[in-house]
Amino acid sequence: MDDVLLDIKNLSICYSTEDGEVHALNNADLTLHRGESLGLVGETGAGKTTLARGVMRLIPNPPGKVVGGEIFYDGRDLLKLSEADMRRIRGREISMIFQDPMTSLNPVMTVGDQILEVINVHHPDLPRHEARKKAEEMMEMVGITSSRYEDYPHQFSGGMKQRVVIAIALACSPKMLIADEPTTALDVTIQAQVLEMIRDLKEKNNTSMLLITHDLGVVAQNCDRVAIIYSGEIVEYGTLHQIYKETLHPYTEGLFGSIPNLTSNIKRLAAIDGMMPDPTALPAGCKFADRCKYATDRCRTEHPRLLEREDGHKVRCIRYESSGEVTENG
Amino acid sequence: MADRGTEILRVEHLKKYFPVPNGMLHAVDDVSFTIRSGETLGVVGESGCGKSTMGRAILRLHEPTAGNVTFEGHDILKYDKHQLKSLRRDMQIIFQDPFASLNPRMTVSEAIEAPLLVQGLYSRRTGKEALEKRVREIMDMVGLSNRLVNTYPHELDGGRRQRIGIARALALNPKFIVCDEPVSALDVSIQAQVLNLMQDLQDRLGLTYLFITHNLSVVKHISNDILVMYLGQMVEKAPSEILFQKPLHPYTKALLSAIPIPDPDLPMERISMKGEITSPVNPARGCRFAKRCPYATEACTSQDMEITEQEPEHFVTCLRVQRGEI
Repeated sequence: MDDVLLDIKNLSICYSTEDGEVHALNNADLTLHRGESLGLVGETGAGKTTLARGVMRLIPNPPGKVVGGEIFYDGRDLLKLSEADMRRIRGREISMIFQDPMTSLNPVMTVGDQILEVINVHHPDLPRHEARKKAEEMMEMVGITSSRYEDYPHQFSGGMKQRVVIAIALACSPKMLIADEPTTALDVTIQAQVLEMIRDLKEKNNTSMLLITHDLGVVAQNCDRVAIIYSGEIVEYGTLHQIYKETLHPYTEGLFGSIPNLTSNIKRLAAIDGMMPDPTALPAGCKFADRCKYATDRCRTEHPRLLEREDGHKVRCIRYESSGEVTENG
Repeated sequence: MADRGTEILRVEHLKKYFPVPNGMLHAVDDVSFTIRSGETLGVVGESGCGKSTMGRAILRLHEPTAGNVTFEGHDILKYDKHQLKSLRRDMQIIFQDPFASLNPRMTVSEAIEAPLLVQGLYSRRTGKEALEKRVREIMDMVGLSNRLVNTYPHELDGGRRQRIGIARALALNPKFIVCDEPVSALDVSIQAQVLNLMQDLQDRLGLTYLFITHNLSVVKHISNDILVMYLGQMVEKAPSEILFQKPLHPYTKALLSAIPIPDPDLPMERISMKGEITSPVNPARGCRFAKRCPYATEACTSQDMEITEQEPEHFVTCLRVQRGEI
């Protein structure tokens, strides 16, 4: 499969804490195709950020540890690379935009120099004035006048800071961008501006993107495929149309019921009862069983496998086992 | 609009300015509205537009700089300290961040008891049983299990903590509650649970809400009327349905067009705005949105804006809409 840029297989990540082993990510499978945007949707603590950091090999160890799985990027297993090789990939091949622009910039370094830094690291032979010129170009590209090169982060608003972070991430034209809740800290009008900019830049450079968010609206407007993550497991994966129009998993269904709809008038939201299970003591069966209105005894004892339908729509729920239209997979 | 409740709160020309090193910050500048009993007024706007300050100024948690606040026919800005304390039984607030607004050293029951004891309605010495009973009642009401009475906030998740915040606000049987972004810190599935709870409580207890949020889908869901603020000024107020169907002010239009719709078949048609929110310190005359507004003319910044009732119940502060030009 040549069009696959990132292929995550059975990735499991644990954190050892005083309260026990936190199973943050369990046998996650995820595929990102070249030039596409994949939305990873889930709630706080579902393992979204752990997955992103796992791909970048930025899981703090201790307490975190990759306990199993493979991450194929362009055919190479990232988990088998040396730290030096990995450093060459970070920022140049795969870049990350972090959630909070207020804390992800260095407060005592000018924004221009922070963009310059990543260019210098990956292109050490580039003459100084050319590197600087490139940094200024990046600023202009994200819509900041280069006359603000010498300004410090505190002189910028939240939306402008996030633009700087994006300029840093894109400075070396990476093939893949991981955006971890890039607009969660921003107002809705600024969010729309920033997303529009990411979309344009992505198209211009043919970058693939893994967009992590909890906002189903942002995904609908920006992604080609969607993965829904719950309690460290991918519970549903498919194209935008499959997830939004042919929803299979009860959790995905619950998420859609939980958001107030602007186009229709529902007096009461169809909230999901209960909460996500404690990641130190995960249930044996389906992790969503306790909150699921369709749950049977079998759901509580038997762990459901990820099933793949003929059209590539994947779901982790035993309700679709017997429907005959599913084929088994890992 | 038959059969709507009677007016419970009237706010007229409310202003709150803060002195800052380089001048005067106009956090709330001339906001007027009324709320009917048992209804919800949603207040929306982007961060820094003064919506929280307005909520607090109404409760006199910030002393207003100018204006009138009339609650059940009484001018509460004239109230002295004692009158204000008894007013707190009728007017309460739910804060945004359930992680920061609870005392970490108080158990759930202590947190809920506090307002009852402060108001002298119960006493730990003489009426311990009645107090405990009342706390259990309130906990049932907000869906907190009784086994949690002796837990501390850090042991609980965000949704449960926000339920404590709601329980505290409800403890005194208030009539009016300012809800300052009560669900913004919560995940969508938990957010839906808390919104449903707040609606059930409103129906059961006849509460009136001033619901402050930046989330436009939430505000449409919960409000009867919606007030849109921009940089301290109120730009539009209308019944919820009408505001979403037929927004008049250019800012409201741009704001609504920026909401990402969770449906891939409905692409966004965003109205782009230039730039970002400017500073509310020593603002220039006229419409504060003019700098970003695609329709702005010179007249928009050369005179003070006035709010007019453009259509029944639909108020707008835009010169060009008022002149019938857009």
